[in-house]
Amino acid sequence: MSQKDFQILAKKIGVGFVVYFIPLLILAGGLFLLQRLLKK
Amino acid sequence: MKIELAVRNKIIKDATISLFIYALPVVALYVYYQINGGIFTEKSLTLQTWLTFLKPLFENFRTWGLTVFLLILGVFEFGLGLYDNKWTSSERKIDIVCFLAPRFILTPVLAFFSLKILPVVLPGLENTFSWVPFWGGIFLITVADDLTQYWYHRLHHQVPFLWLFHRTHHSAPYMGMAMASRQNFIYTILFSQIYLVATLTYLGLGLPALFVTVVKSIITLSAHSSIAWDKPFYKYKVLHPIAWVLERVISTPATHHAHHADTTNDGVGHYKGNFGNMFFLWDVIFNTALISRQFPKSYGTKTYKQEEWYAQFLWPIFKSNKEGSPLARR
Repeated sequence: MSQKDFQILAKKIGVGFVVYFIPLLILAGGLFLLQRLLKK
Repeated sequence: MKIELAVRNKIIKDATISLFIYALPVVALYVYYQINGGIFTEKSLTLQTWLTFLKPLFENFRTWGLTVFLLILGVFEFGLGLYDNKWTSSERKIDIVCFLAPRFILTPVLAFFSLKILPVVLPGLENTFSWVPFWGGIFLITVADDLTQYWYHRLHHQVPFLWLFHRTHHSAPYMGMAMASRQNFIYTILFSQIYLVATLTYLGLGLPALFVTVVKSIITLSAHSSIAWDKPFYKYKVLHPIAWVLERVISTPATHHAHHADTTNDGVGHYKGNFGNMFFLWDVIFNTALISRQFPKSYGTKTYKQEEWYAQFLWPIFKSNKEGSPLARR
């Protein structure tokens, strides 16, 4: 694999991580907040 | 090759709208608890009685049942001559490798992620969301899994450098149940939504995840199948109202076959849209939908050079030796 291939793979992993992380942040983060709100 | 400005702007606009859609299940739960006087118990999620008998059914389907369903579907397709003479030995190799490999490799990878990585990254948070009611969990997992896959899929079509990781799924000149698993392995192993669902499962939403993933598997497999179960809904006028709802909510063979067409802008083929997997609703919301109730005359991609199975399966680790192939060494 060339350096360019490694760069493409790295970018792809980055895209995959963002597409995973942003929804997780909203959903899990939202549930954590809701949990704290409801416990009050 | 850069992404077109209009496409980029639309991605940004639709991604912004998606942030609100992701928040909807949480908002729905907040409204539910407000209406119920804020009553909140931390007991573990229990399945309602009428669903109790379904749980082992769904568990079995997710483990061995899905494979059996696929094989039966495949036998039917083959028996009905739906592959014609397009299932050459080269295509058979790709389909079989793509069918088997994830079952042997992805399962232990996901297990490692769930059992070893998540407890380290999210210590002490196992089952912390077990208070979420079943319907809320279904809503959450549905959005988490399917909207995320919509985006993962759409980006692989619209962002130029990502396309070659997804091209294998579109290279076949036919449709069938094998298409659902015919993927470049790097595309599969980096499916964002499977790690997202695994994380939410660790956090306590395993039961709704079980139901959603099974239903989703059936819909997406059926949408790829060459057995067009939706045709009677278009043929008989009395079924047209049901067709209208079905084709806008879930992926049907007609809408998903359009996505696999080797043409676009002809009123039938639409590989520039129809990205939805379980729900076609996302395409309707983001205006990436084309509903024609017709089936394309041909499938695949115009740049296909019948590349070797190893290049289609593991590009860029292995490249193709076929001259002019996008998967060849540059």
